[in-house]
Amino acid sequence: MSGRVTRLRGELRDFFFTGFSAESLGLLRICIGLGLLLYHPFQFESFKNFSLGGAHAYYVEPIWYFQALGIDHNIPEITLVMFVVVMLATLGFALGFFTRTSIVLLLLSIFYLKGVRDSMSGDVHHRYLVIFHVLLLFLLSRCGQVYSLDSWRRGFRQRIEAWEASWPIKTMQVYICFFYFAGAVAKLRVSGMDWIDGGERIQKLLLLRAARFGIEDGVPAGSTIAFEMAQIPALCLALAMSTFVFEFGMPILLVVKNVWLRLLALSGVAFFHISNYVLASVKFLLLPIVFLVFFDLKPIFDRIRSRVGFPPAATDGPPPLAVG
Amino acid sequence: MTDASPPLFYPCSVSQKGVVRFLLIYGLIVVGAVVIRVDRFPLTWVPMYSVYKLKSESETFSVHHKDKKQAYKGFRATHADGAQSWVSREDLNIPGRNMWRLYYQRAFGRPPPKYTHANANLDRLSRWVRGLAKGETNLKTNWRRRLITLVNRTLGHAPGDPRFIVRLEAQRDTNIFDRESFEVVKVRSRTAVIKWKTAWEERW
Repeated sequence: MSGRVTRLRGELRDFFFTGFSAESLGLLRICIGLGLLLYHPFQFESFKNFSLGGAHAYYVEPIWYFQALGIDHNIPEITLVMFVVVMLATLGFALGFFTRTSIVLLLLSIFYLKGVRDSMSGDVHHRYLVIFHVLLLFLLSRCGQVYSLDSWRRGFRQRIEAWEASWPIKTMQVYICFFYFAGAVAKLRVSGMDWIDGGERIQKLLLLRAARFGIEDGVPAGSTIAFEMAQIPALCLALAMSTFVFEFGMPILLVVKNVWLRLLALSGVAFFHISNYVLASVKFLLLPIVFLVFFDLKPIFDRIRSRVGFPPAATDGPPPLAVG
Repeated sequence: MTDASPPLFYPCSVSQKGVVRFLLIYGLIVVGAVVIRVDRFPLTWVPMYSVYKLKSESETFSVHHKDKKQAYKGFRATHADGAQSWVSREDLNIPGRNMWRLYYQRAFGRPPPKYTHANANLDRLSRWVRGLAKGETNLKTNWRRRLITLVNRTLGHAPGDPRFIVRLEAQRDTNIFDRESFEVVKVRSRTAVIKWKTAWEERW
């Protein structure tokens, strides 16, 4: 028994503390930062409807932290300023400029903007959960000390060990897999097999999104494809079952080493989010930017560097692996 | 070149042991939130689209028709002085999607999904943590009171003002679809009427 426990501890230690280099961490910071520059405008695009100098809308249900702070209405001018802050902080994060400060500002502005968006009509969205945890782990990491303006500015010369680079990225992977897994558990917990039965849940969702703006002569004002798909029960059932399969199966990604298998699996999940957006206007479309955490970007970066005429940089870390 | 002093917020990098301790606490919090169904950002039990009760016996589906023009035009308001007006999206200065939700859902007493998630099929542990008896509702609120309150507050009216809004109306059509043919077999129209109650002034 103690042998098994020791072996398990060793495997967990290997999992969390190996697989990535300092450069991997830096490159991941840059790529996810750049992805967030698209993510924020997409999530908060409804704010363009705010009229500066217009009414300060009171919230029908302030989000829990707005309630705690006594924030019960929107001030459009402040919201605009916070949007500018979120974009600048994201740029700072991506470039590694006052990295930790940028991440803190980024997190605070996400809290505020999400609070504004979700308090208006009481609908709390979940699209920043994974992003928050990824950013939190970047905050606790040394991501600002490599491939960053900070490292150039401050001249960091302290070596970042492979374990210091690996554990934040591996924890991000674990969180993302757990997020999807928990989604499947929630469906079973609340609805049991009713969620899959006959594909009705999917059918209703497709019909709702297709026909919510009306229907004339049998043609929906929303997505025609969604309307057509809703009329094929076998397809709806297959979609429901495949949702369960991929959500429950996400943790398997943690032990899959083959790059191409990982890429295939995550492409499938990305396709799921794209389809949800096209068919049902579910705005998780750009969440797949975080799937980069499942890949070691250093070998890809080195390959690009050598193709454009720069040799790969020497590393102190472990031999490059395509997947961590 | 000097070594940088240890950065802020980086106690975990001191040792692997420190990281392990952090991961254990972090994992406990994240998993614990799922177990007891906490859905407060940044913790969640990922309840999105989880609620569904099978209705195979029913021969129809119903879908509320969202008319953007109607929603943006807004609520028909009656003021304390008897005057009537419209309270539009621009008047409230809110995004379009939020206006639909206020107009087509909250005005009709329908809560946002988080209430459905919070109340659906609570297990024993989740009830115990919240001190709820079996069958007791976890979250509920009077959306109509909240809606008429927020409209008045946003427009700067208080109880006693002649311009205080005492009545709001919203209209909604629902298309009823045949489950087999997916044709609309009936259109059901409803009007939500929210009248201000004097008792609500206490919570103004």
